[in-house]
Amino acid sequence: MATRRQILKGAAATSLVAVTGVSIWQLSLSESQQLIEDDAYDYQFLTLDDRYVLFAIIPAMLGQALEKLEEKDFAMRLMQQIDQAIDFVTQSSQDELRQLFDLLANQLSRAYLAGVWSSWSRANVAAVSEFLNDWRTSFMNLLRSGYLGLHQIVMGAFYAQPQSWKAIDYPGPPKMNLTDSFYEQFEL
Amino acid sequence: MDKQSINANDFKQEVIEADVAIIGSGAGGGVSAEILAQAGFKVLIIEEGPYLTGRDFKMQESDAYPMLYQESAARKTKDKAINILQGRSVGGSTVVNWTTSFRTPEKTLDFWGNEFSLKEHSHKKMAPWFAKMERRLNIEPWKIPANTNNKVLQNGAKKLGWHSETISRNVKGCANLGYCGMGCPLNAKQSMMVTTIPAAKKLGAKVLYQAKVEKLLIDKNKVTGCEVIPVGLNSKASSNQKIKVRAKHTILSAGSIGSPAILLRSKVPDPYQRVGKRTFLHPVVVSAALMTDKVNGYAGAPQSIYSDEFLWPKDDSMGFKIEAAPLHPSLVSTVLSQFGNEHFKLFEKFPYQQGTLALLRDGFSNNSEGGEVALDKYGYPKLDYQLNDYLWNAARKAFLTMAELQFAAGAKEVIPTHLDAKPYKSWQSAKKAIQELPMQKLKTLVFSAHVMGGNSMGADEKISVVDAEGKFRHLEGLHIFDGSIFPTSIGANPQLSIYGLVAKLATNLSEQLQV
Repeated sequence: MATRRQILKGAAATSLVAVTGVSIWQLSLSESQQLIEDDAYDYQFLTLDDRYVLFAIIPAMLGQALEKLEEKDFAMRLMQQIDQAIDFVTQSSQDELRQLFDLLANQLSRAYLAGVWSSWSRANVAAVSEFLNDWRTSFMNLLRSGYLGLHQIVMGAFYAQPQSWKAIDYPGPPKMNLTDSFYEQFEL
Repeated sequence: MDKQSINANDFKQEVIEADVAIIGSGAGGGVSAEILAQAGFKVLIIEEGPYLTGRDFKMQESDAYPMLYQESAARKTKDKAINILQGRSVGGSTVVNWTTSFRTPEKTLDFWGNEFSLKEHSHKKMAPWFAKMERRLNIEPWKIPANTNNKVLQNGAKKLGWHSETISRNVKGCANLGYCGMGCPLNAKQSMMVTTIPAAKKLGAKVLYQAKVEKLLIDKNKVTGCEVIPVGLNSKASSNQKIKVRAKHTILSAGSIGSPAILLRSKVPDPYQRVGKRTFLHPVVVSAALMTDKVNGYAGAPQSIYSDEFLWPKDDSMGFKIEAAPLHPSLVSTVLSQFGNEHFKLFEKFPYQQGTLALLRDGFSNNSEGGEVALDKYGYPKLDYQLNDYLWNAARKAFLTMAELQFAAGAKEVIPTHLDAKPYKSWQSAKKAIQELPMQKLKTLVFSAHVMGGNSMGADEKISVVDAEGKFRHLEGLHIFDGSIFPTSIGANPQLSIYGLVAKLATNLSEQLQV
């Protein structure tokens, strides 16, 4: 009997390799699992399971935006950005996010077991997309708020990273080169 | 950092003393600090967030949201239907606001006079205080031509014969960069962090930062200071240490969520259960447009044009103010609620997008009583704000109005921020669709950058927390000087309303207190 961890591992790797033209998400199954597991960053909130869940969801959430990325460790930085954002919300919001991630982990592993994700193919991104769309269009406030929370976490972190900007033709902030003496005039 | 700025985590004594303790360093706390320091009082400013300055601001959303905003810029109302942007470092929201400055509208002050018997804060009596703060913070109409994002608003209004005007801003030496929301790297924004707080420090005031006020210290019927917990950058307790602040007088300026929270945690007497009630948000709805030419909505002064065409409707409906919404990738990506390729298709045209927002003037009708701040099981504040039909009707009208304006200005496509909305290619199709969109929470995306009220000022003690001087009604030694004492929302970006009212109230207090 596979543990939830093993299933999530499979599901995550599945969608990572499923999107065409994506570097990190194109890595071989074992390589990408290794990346997640070897990440030495001191995560405050995200567990290993949470990171597998995010890996499964990110390609469906971001779509073609991922295709322009080149850096291998970018996915890790995205996780770290998400972790920092969550570290800064209140304890009760963290409790709610914990419930959300646990629910997602269960849903994804159940879908995997039920054979919704039959093979490691493009279809798995479609399956996650369908699941996201179900939440987005649900008549239940709770599921729509779960969708919006997840959307805010993933989109917000991704488009805060300079690596994502080329694809949307955003040049980034102007370079300022301000010296110490410039700032000294404001100080006591 | 200088000697007068103390990180609470490095403070090893148990007690710190002051004549006046000011809890919070935003618009209310900053202005209070300068005025009381000028009057000769030993002032201590207490701030939960970090002490960051222009040197630290790199115009990156990835740093700015966790460091400078409450809850990583993802603070939400209890049911998560409204996302709240609120500042949290030394200088509070004045560090990250878009510098938009309006005096409190005359109609708002008239309403306060009539409904809350606050005649002493009439338009005429407030005018010199607004003028004083305009001089202090260099507030004047923006002279540089509006950026394209704002010009679209202006062009649309002109085409339709609607009111539009130039916005005044609190800047000095502004290079028109457009990154106000991430903290000004030039210290050009005249926030509390570069104006009143350094001025108060020159007069001997101290700043205790990364210091969360757990509760007020109360001896019989008098507030004698407060209890402080050192916190990490994530605002969570970093040790078991507690610091006692002993003060002859306390000013609460922690904003409309923080101030009621401190009163509630302190279990202050509240015989009419008014603390935390009537909290207002200026609920905001947003409309995104796709233009033919590049807008580059991230560059240039974020807000320089506004329209008050619909702010004071003749019927009893809720009015709204129209302004531009500056566009930065992380924030905009979260506002477009699609996902996958559908999201990317909208977002790859990022430079061509224009953002318009409508802020709804809540609190002026029996149908608009605002929300309520209460504590969760950890003692953190949560705002419960229910969106009713009265508000949704105004939100729908605002979506229609913004789409009409954007198409009049030449938009190719308009998309309201609503889960069921699609990009519409003409005013006619947008109009038809918006009339049908279900106005429902967590389908219509709603935002707020202006939390007001919660500790209402008023003449009648049954419906107010503070009197017309900002004095807390049920204890001695405590005044509340921040936007939480507004009895309604303002109907305009509130910073200058806070500066002006607090300047008046703090000056009055400084004349009453004994050194």
